[in-house]
Amino acid sequence: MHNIKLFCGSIAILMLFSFSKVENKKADSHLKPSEVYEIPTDAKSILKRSCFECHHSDSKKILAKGKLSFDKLDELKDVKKIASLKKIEKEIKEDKMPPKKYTKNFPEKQLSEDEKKIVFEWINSELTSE
Amino acid sequence: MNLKKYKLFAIPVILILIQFFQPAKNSMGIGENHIINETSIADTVKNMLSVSCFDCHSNQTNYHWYHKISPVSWIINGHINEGKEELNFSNWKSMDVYDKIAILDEICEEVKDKKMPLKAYSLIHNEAKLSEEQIKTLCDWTSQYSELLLKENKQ
Repeated sequence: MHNIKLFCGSIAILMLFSFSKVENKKADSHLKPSEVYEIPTDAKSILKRSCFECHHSDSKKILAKGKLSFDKLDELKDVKKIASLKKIEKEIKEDKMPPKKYTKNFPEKQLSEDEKKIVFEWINSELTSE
Repeated sequence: MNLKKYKLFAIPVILILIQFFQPAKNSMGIGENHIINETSIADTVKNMLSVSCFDCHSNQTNYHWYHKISPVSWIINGHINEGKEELNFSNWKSMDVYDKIAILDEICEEVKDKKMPLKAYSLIHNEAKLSEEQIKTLCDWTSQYSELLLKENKQ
């Protein structure tokens, strides 16, 4: 009888422990939304091809990723995220990004007008959700 | 020798002639959409913007006597056109809220990195130079004002 009580008690403690872990995970994911933040597939594939090489936290270009990392966008304060999105839009509109010296060597990284439109639509949807 | 004399004569003639070709003045006055009419902005900030930014980033430039001399007037005109294209404080009140937030962020970045006011400008206009304290005040304002604009936009 004593053994059964001990067994049930241990199970209950284990269950409580595992529940608290799940709760902690939930809290963490709330604190770090970038872990669950996803750019829509169509826009992401364009950005991945033309921007992520420099503007992603895995990039070796410290200066560029310091200025902007697409995968960290959602970690920014709302106003900073808006400013970053507007800057991305402006740089692409004015053909400043990707830089000409980069696209000269890798012409496939250049964004077509249709691709720009997809990126701008994503930016717009992000802005309106803020 | 004759050619040398001709050149010496030609230079002042050209300098006199180009004075007849002056660019249009940037003096459209303070319109109703100017940031100066924004009541929620503190006077200290407006003052800083006025002294350090409005000459190139608004429709009203305070000209000095040397601005009227070509080719200086052309160079100044080029700076003004470029500056207004990037940001025109005279249109502030009619701008989109997200554009305003992006511009406020850029203002802070530019002054912090000492890219603005332009070195060439602050060399002549010593009063336009921003001290570290002024830069902090400006960045605190851009940050608080952005938050306020976003909050108002959500309401």
